[in-house]
Amino acid sequence: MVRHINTRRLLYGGKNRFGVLNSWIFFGVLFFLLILLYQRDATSADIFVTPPPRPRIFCVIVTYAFRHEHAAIHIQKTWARHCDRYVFVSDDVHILLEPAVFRNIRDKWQRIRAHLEYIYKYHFHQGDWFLYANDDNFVVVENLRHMLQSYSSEELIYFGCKMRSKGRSQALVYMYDGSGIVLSSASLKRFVLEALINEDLCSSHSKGSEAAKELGRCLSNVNVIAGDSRDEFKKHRFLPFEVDIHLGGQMNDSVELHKYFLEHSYHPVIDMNLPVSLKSICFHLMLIPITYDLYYFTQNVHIFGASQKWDLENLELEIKNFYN
Amino acid sequence: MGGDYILLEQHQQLGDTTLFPGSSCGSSGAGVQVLRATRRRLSSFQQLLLILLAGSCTIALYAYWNVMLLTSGNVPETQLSNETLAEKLQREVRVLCWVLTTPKYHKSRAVHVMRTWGKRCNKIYFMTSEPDDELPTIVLTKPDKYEVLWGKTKEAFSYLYEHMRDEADWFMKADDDTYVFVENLRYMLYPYSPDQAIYFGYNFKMVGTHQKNESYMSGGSGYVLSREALRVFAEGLNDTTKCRQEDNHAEDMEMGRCLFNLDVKAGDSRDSKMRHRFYPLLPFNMLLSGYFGLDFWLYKYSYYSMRSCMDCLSEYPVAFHYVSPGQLYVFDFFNYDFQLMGKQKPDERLPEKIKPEDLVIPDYDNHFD
Repeated sequence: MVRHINTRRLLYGGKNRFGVLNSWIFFGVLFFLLILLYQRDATSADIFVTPPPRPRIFCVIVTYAFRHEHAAIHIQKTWARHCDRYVFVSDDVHILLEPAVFRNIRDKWQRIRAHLEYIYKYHFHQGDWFLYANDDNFVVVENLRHMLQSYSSEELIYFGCKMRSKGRSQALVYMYDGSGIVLSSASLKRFVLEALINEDLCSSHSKGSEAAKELGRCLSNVNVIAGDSRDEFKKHRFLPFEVDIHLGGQMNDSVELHKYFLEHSYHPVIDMNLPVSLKSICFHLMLIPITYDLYYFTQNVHIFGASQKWDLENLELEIKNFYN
Repeated sequence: MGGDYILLEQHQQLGDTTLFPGSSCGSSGAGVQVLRATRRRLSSFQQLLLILLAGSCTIALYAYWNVMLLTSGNVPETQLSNETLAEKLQREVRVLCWVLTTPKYHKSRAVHVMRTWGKRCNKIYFMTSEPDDELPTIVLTKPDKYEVLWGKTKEAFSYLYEHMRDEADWFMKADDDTYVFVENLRYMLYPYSPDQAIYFGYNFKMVGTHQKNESYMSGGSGYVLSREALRVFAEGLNDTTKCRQEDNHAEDMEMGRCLFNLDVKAGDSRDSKMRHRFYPLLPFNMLLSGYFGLDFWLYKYSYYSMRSCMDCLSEYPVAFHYVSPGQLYVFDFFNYDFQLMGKQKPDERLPEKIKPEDLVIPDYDNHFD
């Protein structure tokens, strides 16, 4: 039987001793040296790369001097920080809010024009999507990001609580200004560069309460699509009114605002109720401190022992409800 | 080396076998014993192979053991049985909830309680003066007046003790404008034994003449008694020296006084970071500092010192008060149904059981006045 390691020949000297060139020891040593030569520490490229950059959301929060202390400040303390960047626009300065100030603009439409132009000029590079919200909205920015992941910010599209004007030959689609409006960067650019300067496409006169309609008209004139912000179960993500109206009650025909919404809503409203998406994004607030409640529930509260698989369970339930 | 090889002469005696080193000639008969005693020598190749094998086995076993050690603590039992931790707690910590209500509010409040958090208790009963078709009611004899709330509470607990004491381990009293997170209640109660006389809620300092460390629990945000505390209370409430026999006065204060006199411990319901789990108002009152001025009653009545801040309520809250019926659904939606993309659930594990003799309840420390 062949001895594979002849220790005598390896360790001792003599006529037939092993040199480095003999037998498989040579290959073993060679292999080892090769490994030593090409061995290196893992570089950062070898490690799993970070996921693609999420769509950056830039929030514009509209406030007014008389609302600074009792409304805007709470927005800043709660959900505004979840935007990638945010800016307040107001008609007066404030030490903590640091708003961009627009003085003496009485008309809502003129204000919207001024705000959007300003955002384009100074903050266009800071976001892929631009959320235009009020200081009495509660916004869940993470869910907005999730919704926008399936869109590209180069698309000419904008989202919000979709409305349709009545009594015109060609129905005008616009977004409810009491809830948030989300513009892609391409649509903001198109709006500012093409619509604002052109009197035919976009009026520069005061519009009073028709501000949201005028925005819708301008955007559709420059071919920006009004997107459908409902989720895959046709439940609404941008809600026009308060949480307890949508979740714990119904809209009321006798209330002016509700009536307006019920008449002009783009999507049909069944039983005076809008189905609320589990991943909803925007609500209106009557009592501003409720922001803290909602923020606390969505961000901090956990239910001990609740299943981690709630996504799938809820999905099954929703599919069942959807087809019934 | 000599013993390994058989001598040539011996070999030839035994017969035809080829001679080569290390051979064992086991084919012969009686003389084989000599040969069998010879230790078989492994060739160097076989030695090397054996060492490699043994080495890799050792390394593999060590790695396996290490990995087992690291992961054994992290695999919750429930993953093995396909049951969530909340379901497990539902079996182990049985809570019977009862809600003080009145026929006027059956349809406007109590029904909504039933539909939101009421259905999560192991058992729920509504203590009222008339039965209802939609609610599991217990009809009491006392009238539904604010002045006899204490009497109604006594009657409710007595009824539960008489008829339902074995149905649950813990007995929670709530109002029809209270919202209770039942799973978090079970999580809070898990370390305690129901055979210990203890009760939990939002601690208030006893007013008027009181003894040291006497406290009572806010009635609005609810309080929960252990089985033993229920027994002690039900058997002791007729004692004139310890509990108020008349039916008037504030129900929560009289309850606290009575339980204190009967030696039921007033537990600390706060979490490990000393944040409140029961709160007698809506969350934003605690989260928004300055919503109330400093003359607000809560600051004076509170047993433990209070601070308002965004992080000052527990992540596993148990109860809030003054929740309107519409708000009940809002609470339900945002806490149970709503999905925040990217929200991480912390690693949840059952806490350690606290032995009754090890229980330490912090003293009163609200020196606000």
